[in-house]
Amino acid sequence: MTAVTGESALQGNGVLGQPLDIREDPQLLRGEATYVADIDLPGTAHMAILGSPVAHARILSIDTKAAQELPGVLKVATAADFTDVMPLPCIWIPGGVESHFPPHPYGLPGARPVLTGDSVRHVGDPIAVVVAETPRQAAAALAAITVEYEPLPVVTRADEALAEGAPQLHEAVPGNLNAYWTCGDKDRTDAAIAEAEVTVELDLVNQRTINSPIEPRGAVGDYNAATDEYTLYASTQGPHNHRFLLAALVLGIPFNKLRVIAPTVGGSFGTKGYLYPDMALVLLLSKALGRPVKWVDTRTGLMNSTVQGRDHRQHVTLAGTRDGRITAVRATSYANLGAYPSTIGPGVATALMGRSISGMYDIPAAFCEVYAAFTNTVSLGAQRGSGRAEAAFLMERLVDRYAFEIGMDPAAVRRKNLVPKEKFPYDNGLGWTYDSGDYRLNFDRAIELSGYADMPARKTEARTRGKRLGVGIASYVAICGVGPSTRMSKEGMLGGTWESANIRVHPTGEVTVTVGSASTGQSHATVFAQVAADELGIDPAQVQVLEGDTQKAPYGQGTYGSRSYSMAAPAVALTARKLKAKLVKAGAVFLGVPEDKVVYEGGGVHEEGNEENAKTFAELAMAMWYGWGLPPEIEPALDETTHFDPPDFNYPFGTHVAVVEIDELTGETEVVAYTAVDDAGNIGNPKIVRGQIEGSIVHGLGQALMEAAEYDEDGLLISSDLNHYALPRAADVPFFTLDKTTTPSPHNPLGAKGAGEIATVPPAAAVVNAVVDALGDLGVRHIDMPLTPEKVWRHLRGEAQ
Amino acid sequence: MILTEFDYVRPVGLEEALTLLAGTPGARALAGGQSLLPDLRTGAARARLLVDVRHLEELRGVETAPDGTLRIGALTTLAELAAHPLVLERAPEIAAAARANGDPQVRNLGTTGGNLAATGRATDLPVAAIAAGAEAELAGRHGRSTVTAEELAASGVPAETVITALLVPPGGPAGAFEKSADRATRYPLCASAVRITTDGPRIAVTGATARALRLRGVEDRLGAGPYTTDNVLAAFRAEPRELFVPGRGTSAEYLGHLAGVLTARALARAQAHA
Repeated sequence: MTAVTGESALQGNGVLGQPLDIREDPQLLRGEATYVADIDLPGTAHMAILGSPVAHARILSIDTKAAQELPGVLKVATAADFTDVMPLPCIWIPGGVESHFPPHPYGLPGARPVLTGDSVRHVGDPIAVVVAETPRQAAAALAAITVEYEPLPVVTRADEALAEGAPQLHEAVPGNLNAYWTCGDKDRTDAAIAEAEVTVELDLVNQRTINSPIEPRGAVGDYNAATDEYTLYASTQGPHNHRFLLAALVLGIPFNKLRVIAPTVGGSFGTKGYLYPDMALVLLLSKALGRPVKWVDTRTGLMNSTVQGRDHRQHVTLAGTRDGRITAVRATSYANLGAYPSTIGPGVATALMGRSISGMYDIPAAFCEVYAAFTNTVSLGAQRGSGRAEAAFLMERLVDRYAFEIGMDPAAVRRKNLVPKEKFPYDNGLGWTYDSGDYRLNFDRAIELSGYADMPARKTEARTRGKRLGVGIASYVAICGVGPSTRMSKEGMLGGTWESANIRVHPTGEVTVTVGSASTGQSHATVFAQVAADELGIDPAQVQVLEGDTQKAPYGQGTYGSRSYSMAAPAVALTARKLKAKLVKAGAVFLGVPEDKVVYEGGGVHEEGNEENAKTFAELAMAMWYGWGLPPEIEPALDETTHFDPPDFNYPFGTHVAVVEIDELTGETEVVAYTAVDDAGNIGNPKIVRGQIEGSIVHGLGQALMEAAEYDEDGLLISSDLNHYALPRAADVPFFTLDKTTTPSPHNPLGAKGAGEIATVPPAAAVVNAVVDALGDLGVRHIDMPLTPEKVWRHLRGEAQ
Repeated sequence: MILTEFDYVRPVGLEEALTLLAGTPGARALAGGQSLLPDLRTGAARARLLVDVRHLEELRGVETAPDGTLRIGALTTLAELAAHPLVLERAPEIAAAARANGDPQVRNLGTTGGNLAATGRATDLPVAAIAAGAEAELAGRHGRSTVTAEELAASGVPAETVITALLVPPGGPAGAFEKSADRATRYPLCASAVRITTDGPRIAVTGATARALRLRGVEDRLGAGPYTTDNVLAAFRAEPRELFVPGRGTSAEYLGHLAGVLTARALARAQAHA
């Protein structure tokens, strides 16, 4: 048992907040974890998916005869085989505005069919599937399927898709416009810009990037004819949610006939919270064949099917005074949703981006409008920091542009406009109400830690080495903790967004915490054990954490938007508190004293002032298992559940400072120093969060320096493997200088804010700001990402202005 | 992608390996596998039979011949090559090129012979070998032969033949290698290797050009120096424009410039060592 340090009976034992070793890591590092690809049920057959080789065409015919006759082939299926299967739904639509979607029989917004039968709309659009005895036989059979196409014109950019005469993707979506969505006060913002002393404008391309978790997706379907029950093993962030969507809205089977299991999931960055055709197909084909059916994606397959991120083209304006007070910000954005709406893509591209554009600043007038459009590209979805990263990019680029225009230090401009501490809760005028923060404390810490004051001297020194040194700041506020269900319904979310936890105390005193969330690498088992152990006053080693199996876990919505520590962990804490309250009641019976004389401490109870009259945690657990002597108002056993729906979101924030050196001869950009001071409220395990912050920064630097999903004019994804899509390596990034500030959120009992993705939000802006700073005297005002050496070199040479 | 099917054999000696390679259509020698296996996976290469030569002791080791030639066995890993005292002392451009490869895992498996033999992509060692004036020793069923590194880069490894060693003539420390790596693959976007001899510099570049090439025009223009950046860039600008080829989303103009910059830096480094 851990020593008790708390003063009151309902205070934690101090294990929460400690950098405990991550219990998941050894099995992950040794390759011992079980992923979907490791699941080999007896009799498994293997599925392969035929994706379209062309970006836009009408399907004239599909000939599967030759494929069907190949060795080992069990079944070849096309859309014609699944006419009774409903299309996948879209459940986060642009809130409060008219929107257009492909149809769904329930009148919901539809997303895409499990296989397309009429037209293909992007390269990789699934047309047919083969199930064979081996993966190789299935792949070989794909090559024997003949599809006749009538080519259609292709459009890959959102702005171009909205132009008159652009190729049309969906009959139900006139002009390819999913929605025109706005937030903020247009008239006031336009007026403030018209009257401003200074305005600056930028045209920005927040390029499309490809999520690259180490594990591509996979799915195993297992239908049991004896019980008429389906089991899906899938790499999913939200097993309950996928169960609901698949059972009710795609397969049309009773909810209790489908079980979804998420085994170990090898990273996600948002991509595995989406419903994909393969999930339905393995179940349908398992039933058809009477065998388990397995599908595991390849890297190139992932790049042509799994949701991609960012992809906004923007025109943005900032207005202010000559002395550095920002008076308005306005953004017009063209968001590229891809060929079909992904499960929650339209909400990501609108609300998450638009409402976040004012960042850490107290701006009197703000307005954002988003045109969300369909194009012949892979569907858009979340990518770590989604929406908020695009928002921070435009705001932080604008602030630098403004500071340059008025000849003020960019740090001074930012500091002058930070939301002051006394204004919280702060309504940002765009729809978010920031919960808590001391932005100035955070900002000043980052500036100080980065050695910002020394930069002029460092720039001079760098020039002696043939380098141009630049420094870039980016601050951000990243809404997390999705979220308050009623509020999310107004944002267009067609579903609940609460979270849950169950705690069971076993007769021998060990504890099992089961949560509705599902880790994709966020070390839930470590930190949720800490939460439970801290509340119950026990050793975290005796706490087991389970999740990911819909048959065992309480209902919950899964992992996304950095929500688990501010949504599921509070549910764990509240559940532990219920158990403690019950143990105090029962303890009064077992100790033979009135309830107000029972002290709960170190997991056990004792009589106030008499520590001899005590029961340990294990004794209590056993006594509650027996249930002997309990009065009728106390139920036996220790088994409690909490469903937590917070009053509002939480708003982590931070300030990052990037220092780059540009080789004057080659244009190569190196990030030589990087400082990040993030505020995620109270932190459960600093070791986990440090890893998340570092990974997030690397992710953001990747977008700034090298990552880009490139489609050619025919809609072919050129960067469709890791030989053509660059990801940052350890050697590409410096050692980071990290610190934190801590302002607890008032919206959950742990004071927690999101952490997993927040540091992905500012790096791209910080790096581009730094590069533009380094080249400012050459007249460079902006460079689009990624900052490839040749692009920077051309700016060094005075071209491409 | 799913690896296509092939047969695999692990011969006990070089002679058996050569017999298998010569007698089997579609046979390929497998050494470190750092190019061949990914290429088989993506379909960029095909093989019916992989002849695994990784365990052939006669292809290992680094030694000095009586005439001072450094003999580097073809199975010497890139990691060994990068850290070998003799190589570091006598052929620093080759050690640097080996060190510039991929990452530690690739260097621990990738071999000298494999890197020299790789076709279809720019690798690091060929330019260093050209600059060093090295030769490759080849073995076929009809005996051994040698080929200059320059010829090897131009013509590739002849069919039914394996590289058994890299032979580096006696030289000094006046060699250097510079590279700008492709962000995705870590292969050279452009690399340059130089060696300064009594006859002037030997200069080879890869990545920016269709294959690893010795640039005699640049060498002649630079002569005895001085090798200032301006001089080197001017010498590169005088090359025919079509020498440099665009690739990896990068223009020929930039690559030609980059080749000049890297060469200037390599020359400066080589002079500093000399």
